[in-house]
Amino acid sequence: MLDSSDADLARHARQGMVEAYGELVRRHQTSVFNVCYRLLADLAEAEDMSQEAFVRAHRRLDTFDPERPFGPWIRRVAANLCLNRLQLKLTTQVGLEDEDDLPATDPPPGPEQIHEAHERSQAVRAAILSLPPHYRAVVELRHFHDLSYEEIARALRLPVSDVRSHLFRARRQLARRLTPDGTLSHGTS
Amino acid sequence: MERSRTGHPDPLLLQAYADGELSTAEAGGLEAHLRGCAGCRAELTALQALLRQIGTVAEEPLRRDLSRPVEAALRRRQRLRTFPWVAAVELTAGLAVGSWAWPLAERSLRAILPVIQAASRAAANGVLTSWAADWEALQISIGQALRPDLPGLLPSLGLAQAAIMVAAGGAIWVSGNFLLLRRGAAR
Repeated sequence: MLDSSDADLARHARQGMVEAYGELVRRHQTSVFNVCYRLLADLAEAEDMSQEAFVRAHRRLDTFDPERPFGPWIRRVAANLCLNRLQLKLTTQVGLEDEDDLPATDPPPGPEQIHEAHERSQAVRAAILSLPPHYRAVVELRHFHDLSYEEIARALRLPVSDVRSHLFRARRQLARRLTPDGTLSHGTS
Repeated sequence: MERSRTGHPDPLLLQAYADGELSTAEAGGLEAHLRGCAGCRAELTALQALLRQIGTVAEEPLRRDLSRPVEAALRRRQRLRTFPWVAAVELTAGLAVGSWAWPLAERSLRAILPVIQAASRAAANGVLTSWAADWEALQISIGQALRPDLPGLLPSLGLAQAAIMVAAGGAIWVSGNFLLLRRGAAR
């Protein structure tokens, strides 16, 4: 079981072997959890949604093509689930014109947190998590799922022009929070 | 090419270029401008650096293994899916056995009833010695009850056979459940 490929495990899981699916979960749970965490910005909620994503994906295993990699498929299932969860927040956002001035859902990291983020990549994650949900969504789909503007627009049910401007503003906020060496810049939020 | 009021390309266009979202013609127009504009080149370089930086985001470690709860949820669902079949099979088998066994049970009840009455009389009278006689009567009655004059199929059914029959029924029920549930879990 341990040395089986993802495709073989998916085939076994489709035939009803729960243990095979368990192995797929073990292999992909961290990346799926990180998708949920980047979108929801809440550890406990991200864990719950990751679990839910795996259970739901099992029901839809017949739509998975074993010729293609399992990782991106399951991450996309998790992203869709989290985006549905975020949909309310996305649709209740008002006044898109001045969104740069809107406070982020989570407070931006303060100087202490910044200094604690020793590693560059952790600083990037902290900056992404500090974005408002609709900005996190476009960043996630563009940077971690490699979707085009059109595909993001379809996934989020937004016009392409909104996707373009959300992405631009999200990146501008990230650029303000990150210095060129990858640490969060001070007093930019 | 879309230009902002400053005469430089719109920042959204620069972003679309960095994301590879421009057509060949649009990209060509922008590149022509970039060749002669150090400011826009610097802006594009900064944007590309940011895009690379976003890609280096750290993975948060997972605090608990999700495979066990996921497997448990799947097994629960499979059992629920199998339950109607198990219930249907058991109900059918129960009805079949019950319709066959009911006459026997009725005879047994009829045989036991006088003994119960005698026992309650004995208890009321405090005559414990009557138990021995009643016990003998009970044995005879049960023996008669379990030897129904069913023609052909069951000419005579003793106490031992009845016990075997009950035990076999129980074994069938348990193994049937086991097989059905196991089949359901493997599905």
